[in-house]
Amino acid sequence: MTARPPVLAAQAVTVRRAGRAIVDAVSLALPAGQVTGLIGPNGAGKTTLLRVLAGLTAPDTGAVTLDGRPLAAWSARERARRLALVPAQAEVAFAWTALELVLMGRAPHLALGRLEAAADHQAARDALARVDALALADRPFEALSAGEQQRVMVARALAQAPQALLLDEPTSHLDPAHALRLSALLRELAAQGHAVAVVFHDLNLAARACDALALMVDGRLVAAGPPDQVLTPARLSAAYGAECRRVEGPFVSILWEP
Amino acid sequence: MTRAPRRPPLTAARLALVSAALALVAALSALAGLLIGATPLDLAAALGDPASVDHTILVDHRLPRVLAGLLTGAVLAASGAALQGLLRNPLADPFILGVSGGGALGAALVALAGTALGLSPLTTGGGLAESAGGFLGALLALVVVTALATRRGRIQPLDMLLVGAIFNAFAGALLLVLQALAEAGAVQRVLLRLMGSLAPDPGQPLILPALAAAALLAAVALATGARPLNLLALGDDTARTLGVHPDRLRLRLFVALSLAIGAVVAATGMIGFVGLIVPHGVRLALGPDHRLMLPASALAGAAFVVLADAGVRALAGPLGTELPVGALTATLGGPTFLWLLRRGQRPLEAT
Repeated sequence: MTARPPVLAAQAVTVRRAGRAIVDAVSLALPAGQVTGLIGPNGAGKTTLLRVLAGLTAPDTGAVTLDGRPLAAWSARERARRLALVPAQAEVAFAWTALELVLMGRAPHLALGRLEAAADHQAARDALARVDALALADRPFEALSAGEQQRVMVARALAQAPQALLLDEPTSHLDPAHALRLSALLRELAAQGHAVAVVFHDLNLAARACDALALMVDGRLVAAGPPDQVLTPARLSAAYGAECRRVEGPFVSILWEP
Repeated sequence: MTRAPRRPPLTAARLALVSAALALVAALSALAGLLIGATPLDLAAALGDPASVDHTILVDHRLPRVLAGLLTGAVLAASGAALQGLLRNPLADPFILGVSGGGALGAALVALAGTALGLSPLTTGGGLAESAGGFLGALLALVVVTALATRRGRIQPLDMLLVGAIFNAFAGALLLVLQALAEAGAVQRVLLRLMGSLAPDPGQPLILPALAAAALLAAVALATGARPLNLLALGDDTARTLGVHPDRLRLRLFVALSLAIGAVVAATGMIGFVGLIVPHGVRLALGPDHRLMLPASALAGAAFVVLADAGVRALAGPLGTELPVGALTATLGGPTFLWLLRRGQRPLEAT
C-alpha cells in the first residue's frame, strides 16, 4: 500500500435510514495513484458510501475529507474541479448530443458567463476518445445503447479533470472488450496521479482493475487490502452466501459454484 | 451514408447571429402588428398629424397592444423554456402548471379588495397593486403545485401536470364567478382582461412598465441561470457534483419567473400554451442548450404573440367579432401538448 496522504478519506462514516445503519462506521482512504474497488453483495452500502464520498449524502456521524479539508467546507464549484462521480444510472433530459454532455464536464472550470473555448472542446473530444466513443460525439445521447451511454458518462467525468474519480458500476452495460479497456483506463488514470474508487460486481474485473479492494457486507467494511488478500473463498462465501473457488493467475479469478 | 447535419458548437458568434435574426423577426412582427387591424390605417396621417384618428389608433391603441404582446410573448416563452429545464419536463408551461391561474387569481383578489375599500384602480397604483397580487399568486401557485407533486423528495412530473391543470381550471372558474359577481365598471374590466387580452387599459397606465421591469429582472436571473439549467439535464445529483445547487437554483428561478409571469397575467391575463409551443419549436431547431434556447425563445415568443394578436385582429373583419388572443394560442397549444405527450421521449419520468 502506498504511504501517500489520501486525496479523499472517509473517517468512521455512518449513514442511517429508517433506524438501520446502511453504512456502518466505515473508514476508507483513497490515495492518489491507486484504484480502489468497492465490492460486496447487493444492498451492502457500496453506492451509499460512494455518495457520501461524493458529498451527495451527508453522513449521520463521521466525516469525509478532500485534500485533508472537510468536504462540507469546499464550495460546490471548487469541489467539482477536484472530485467527479459517474452514477450507476444515466438520466438525461432533452436531446443533447454525446459531445454536448461531455462538454458539461467543463462547467466547473468555466468563468461565469463564459462559453466553452476551443481547449474545452479539445478536452471533451480527448475524453470521448479515451473511452472509445469519439465516433458517437454528434449522436443524440438518447439514441445510444446503454453501454455507449455509460462510456459517454465516463467521458463526461473525465472532461471534468478531477483529482478524485468515483464510479458506480461503470462496466455494468459494457461488453467484455470495453470493460477491460475501461479497467485499463482507470489504471492509467491512477498512474497519472488520480485517486479512483469504483464499485464493481464482477470480482474478476475488480481483481484486474484495482490496486486495493474494500469488501462491504451489511454496511460494514469487512476486509480491505490488495485483491489477492481480500478475495479469499472463505471470506467471499460468507459475504455473498454462495460457494466459490479461486484460480490463481496473473490476476486472481473467482469461480462461483452452482 | 447520410448523417443528420451536425449541430454547430455554441459560440458567441452563433449566439449573436441567432439572436439578431430572431430580433429582426420580432421587429417585423411588431411592424405587422402596428399595421394590421380591423380599420385600415393611413400611415402618413398617423405619423404626420397628431390630431388624426389614425394617430390615435396607432399610438393609443396598437402601440401599447404590440408592446404588451412583445413582453407577454417573451416572458411566457422564456418562462416555459426555463420551467421545462428546471423540472426536467418538456410539458411544463406557466399556463399548464397553474402559475398563470394563480397569478390571475392574485391580481383579481387585489383588484376586488381595492374596490371593496373604495379605491379606484388608479389610486391602487395604476396597476402596480394588481401586478404585485399577480406575483404573489403565481409564486404561491408554483410553490403549492410543486409541493403537492413532490413525493419521497422527488418532483413527480405527471403529478405536477395534473395538479397544475386542475389548479388552473379551478382558478379560471373562480375568476369567472368573481367576474360575474363584480359590479360593472373598472373592476369588471380588470377581471375580464385577466381572462386574456392584450387591449390596453387606460385606467392602469403603470401595468406595462411594471411588466417591463419584471421581465428585465427575470432576464437577468435567466442569464445567470442558463448554464446551471443545462447541467440539471443530468439529474440533480450529477448537477451537484458539477457545482450546481439545484434547490437554490429552483428557488431563485421560481421567484424570478413568478415575478415575470405574475406581471404578465396582471397586464394581459391568462394566455396559454405560448410557453409550450415556442420553446419546443426553438429546441427542435437549435438544440437544448439554454444559453441559446432561452434568448431565442424570448424573441420567438415575442414575435409569436404579436403575430397571433395581429391574426385575431385581421380575423375580426370577416368574423364580425374579435377573438381573444388566448383562444388562438390555446387552439394551437392543445394539439401541440397532445403531440408532445404521445412522442415517446420518456417525458414523464421522475426527476
